[in-house]
Amino acid sequence: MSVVLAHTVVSPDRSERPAVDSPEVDSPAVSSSAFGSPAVDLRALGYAYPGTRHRVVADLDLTVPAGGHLAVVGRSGCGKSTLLSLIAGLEEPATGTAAVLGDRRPEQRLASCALMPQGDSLLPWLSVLDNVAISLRNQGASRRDARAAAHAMLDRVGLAAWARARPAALSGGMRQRAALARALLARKPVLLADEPLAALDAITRAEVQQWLRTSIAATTATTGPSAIATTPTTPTTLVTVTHDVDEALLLAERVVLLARPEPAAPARITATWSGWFGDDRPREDLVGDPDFAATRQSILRALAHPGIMPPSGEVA
Amino acid sequence: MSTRVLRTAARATAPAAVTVVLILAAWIMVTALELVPEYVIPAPAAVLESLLVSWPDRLGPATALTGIETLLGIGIGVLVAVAVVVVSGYFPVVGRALTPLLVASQAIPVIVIGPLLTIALGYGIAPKVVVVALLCFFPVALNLLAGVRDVDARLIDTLRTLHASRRALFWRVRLPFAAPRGFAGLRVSVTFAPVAAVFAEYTGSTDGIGYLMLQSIPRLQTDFVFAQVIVLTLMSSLLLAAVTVLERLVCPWNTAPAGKAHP
Repeated sequence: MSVVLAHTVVSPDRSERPAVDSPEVDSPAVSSSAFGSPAVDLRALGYAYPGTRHRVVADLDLTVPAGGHLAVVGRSGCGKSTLLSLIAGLEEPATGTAAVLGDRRPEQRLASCALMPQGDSLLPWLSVLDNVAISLRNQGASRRDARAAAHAMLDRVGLAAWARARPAALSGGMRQRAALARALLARKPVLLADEPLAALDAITRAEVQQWLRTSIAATTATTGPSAIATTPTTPTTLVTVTHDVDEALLLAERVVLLARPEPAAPARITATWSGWFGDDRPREDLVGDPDFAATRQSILRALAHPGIMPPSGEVA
Repeated sequence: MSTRVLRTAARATAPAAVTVVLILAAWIMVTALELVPEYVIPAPAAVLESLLVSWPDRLGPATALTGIETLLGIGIGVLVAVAVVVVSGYFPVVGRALTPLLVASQAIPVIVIGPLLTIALGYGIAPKVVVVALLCFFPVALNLLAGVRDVDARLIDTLRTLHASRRALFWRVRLPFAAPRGFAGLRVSVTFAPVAAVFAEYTGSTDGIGYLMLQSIPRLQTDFVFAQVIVLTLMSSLLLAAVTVLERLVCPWNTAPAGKAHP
């Protein structure tokens, strides 16, 4: 059971989408050839929580090309967050291998990934500015330099006016934007978002989704080889974990389903779909698009019945 | 000048003020009608007179000494508690080794340690400071240790991906997270600290409020004892207020009203 997530695996009916020639997205040929190793490469991955023998995931294969945007959907408790921990080197696989940018060593994976967790992860005792600056401070930058860089990043996410406020003074949506600014300033090639918008109400979530679509696209396109990336040749790769199907389709070119084929079996990737990231139509138009609706329907059906493979999705 | 602010303040303090007035009225009535002998419950006026008359020569100096013992004890107890927490932050095994010991030693009654310390350290200020320090140390250390460990694991994961070393995690995440809990412990400590100092003075001393109490009780100078109790109560209240102000300065993000946490 293996799913290779290259841009080249696009279903025929979707290849005419305007998204393909959207300027923000790297062309598939560039992403796979210019960077020798994929950003994330999981092979025959298996994992059991420490002290237990029960496999949470097993035989999991997943590849994300450098600069790619992948969304993982799945029901609660299927191991989505664990998957991100395994990629980031916070956990080690029991079987199989996990590599980030071709490196399997956990400390190197940790060095390449930034985690944007679910819920409120800003430190309440620091100002918004110092929260965003923390990765630079952790690297030994002076307070002044770190704050200057953080201020520039806050400006990009539209929160410059709130730099001196404490997180508690911000709305949920603003806090998530600040959390993204903090993650981006860590200048890691791989960004791992764990239910980034789960704590927001539906209306705010829709707004932030729209905002994320444009700002992630801008990050990848304008800074592909500059400010955000550690290595000048590596654009930001995004892996989003979510149970919100619309969010998955909006924030990724590829959407995969992490599910248990049978109730007690370990989870693995059971299906994959093309997403709408890079299609620069506004969120409302996309959500109303019949193709979008059909894909959403297919994913929802697969989520409800993980054992039955969806007819319209690309079965792994 | 906002009448609304005044009204809110009045509404907050009025019930307590009414209670105090009622108790005072009952006290005055009981003593004025001579329902109980004067040596059991002295009149408020007698207590006030005793306080004012004795303050310059006896109660004032005794209060200063007991106050110094209390403050020194709190200071040393808190310093040692923070030091233990910092060391266990760098060497988690130290924290794990100490916690059961701390919990167990908290069960040792100060009543037992006090006289032993007097035997060991004499009649001076030292055994009193040690008793207060011991009493203050445990709540602060235990609360801080628990706080340092209770940080959400996913938050730690996140900060690790943001280049945080173990040291950075301790100073930038764990310790600030634990600080409000440390203050909750400190609030418990300072409430009992003056009483602990007085108790230590009971077990052997030549000055201090505890010494005065030991002298005035057998002589049935109840009005003077009442005056001492009032001074002690004021001391505890002042300390509690000081801790509340300090907490607001050190942990301004902690918006939970300090008054609500139960000592």
